[in-house]
Amino acid sequence: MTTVLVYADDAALRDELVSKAVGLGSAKVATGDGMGLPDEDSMTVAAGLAKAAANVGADLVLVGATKKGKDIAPRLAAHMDWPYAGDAQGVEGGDGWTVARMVLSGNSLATYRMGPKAVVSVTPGTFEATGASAEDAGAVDGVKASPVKVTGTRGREADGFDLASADVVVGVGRGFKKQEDIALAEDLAKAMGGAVGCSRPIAADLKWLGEEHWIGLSGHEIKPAVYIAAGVSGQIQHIAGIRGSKIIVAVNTNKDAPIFQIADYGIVGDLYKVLPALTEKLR
Amino acid sequence: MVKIAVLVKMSPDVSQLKIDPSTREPRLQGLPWKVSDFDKHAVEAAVRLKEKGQVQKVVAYTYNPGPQGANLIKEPLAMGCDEAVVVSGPETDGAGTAKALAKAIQADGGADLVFAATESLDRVAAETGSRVGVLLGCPSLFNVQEIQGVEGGVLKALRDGDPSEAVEVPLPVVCTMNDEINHPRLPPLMQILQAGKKPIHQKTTADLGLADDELARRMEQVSNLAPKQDRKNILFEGDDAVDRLVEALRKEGVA
Repeated sequence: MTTVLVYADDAALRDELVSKAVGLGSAKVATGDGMGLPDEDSMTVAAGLAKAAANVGADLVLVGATKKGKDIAPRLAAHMDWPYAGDAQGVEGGDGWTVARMVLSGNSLATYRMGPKAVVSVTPGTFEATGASAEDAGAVDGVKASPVKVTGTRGREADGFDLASADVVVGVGRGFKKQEDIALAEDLAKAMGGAVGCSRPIAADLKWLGEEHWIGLSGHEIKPAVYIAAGVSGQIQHIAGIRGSKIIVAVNTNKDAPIFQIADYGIVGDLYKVLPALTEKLR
Repeated sequence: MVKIAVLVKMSPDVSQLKIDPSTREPRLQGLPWKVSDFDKHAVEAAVRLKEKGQVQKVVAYTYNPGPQGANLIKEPLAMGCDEAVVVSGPETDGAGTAKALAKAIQADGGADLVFAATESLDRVAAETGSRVGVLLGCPSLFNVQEIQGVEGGVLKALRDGDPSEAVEVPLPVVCTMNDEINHPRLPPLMQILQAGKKPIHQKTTADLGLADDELARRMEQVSNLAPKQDRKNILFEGDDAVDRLVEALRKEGVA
């Protein structure tokens, strides 16, 4: 019998993973409390999960790919000396484990065949929570406290701003000539009830907008109903962050900009004219 | 003496990647290779600590650096690494790569700090640094956003999270990082020229006492395709472009 151990530091994600795990084999779920760990630092959880996996005879450990999960999972894989697939968007059993995950800076979906024992971290939202439950994996002994001492916390600068939850996103790219001109994107976003995002150079190099606005592989992945890319050329890392958008609109003076290849609707034109006109009509 | 081992990976330049429109296969052949982008941020972070006098030696380690490796390894040296260790061995997976790198670091007497990119351009696996931490028996900080410094055998850093955490960790420790942490320098010509004279040590996994079966792949890529993009690709040009776009958005029910 195949045994699947589940861990996620987020309850909703844990439910998603348990729902999947019960279809793959005998499911067990480990929690920080249930394992009786001295603390819940990633080092400690990874070491605890290695013991829990051995205790229940796990063949697969599914870890929720939150920030913390992505820290824990590869350490767990090293403790077990098992292969690891991170941020998976699909897991199937059969002959070993078959896992799908994005590679090449988010531009291609690779399928990996893994051996009979594996650690996989799973992107939130990959599986549907069905309300299935799993038995607790139980307590583990002898896990040492983490040497990492947390002396303080720092929230991300934009408290409350959440680009990922916006229904409409207007993306600011290098086509904007001055920081003040971002007002054109803000006006359109306001008229459509949306938020302003941006490409890498605007956040990382020019710092015209904070990182909370950054769309792309290193920034935020967005899935709005409409994404309007204004003066965004469409670098491959940016595209990785907007692929989930329902409708993509591109405004760019360069007809050959790669952004048009991934757009549903495009206007070849000057954003300085197009955005105010759009704002006026959509207000 | 405080020593940093920086893990450096060479990767095809994914920013120049083209997707075959008919098969959706990424065309990797013929792409130039480069030092994987985030790794330069790890090199930069290490070199800055050396410049501050908190670290005395920075050594770059790479495993199977690919067809242009002999040339590319000079880049971290030009940026300020003192030496490089190039390890060659069988094609392997992330577990095997971490074993080879950890063994190479141990063979040199270990390191007080190991800096690595959170993830690479090509495989985006985000596992090597964490695995090396476990193999060296030390903690790892995933996606470090700031490094305050190293003093009295303790690293102070800001670790990514919700919220981010200011942490203190006794050495040795592994840190992984991405492009948030700094802006890597572009080394001046003199340093590029001098980089060729810095020591580059060639080693094999056999030299390091690793048998090929310890490095055998346990995960194999069986397919790799760009996601389907069913986009309408409708372009509006001319004076009524905005009107036609608004009309289209209204039909979609989103305006």
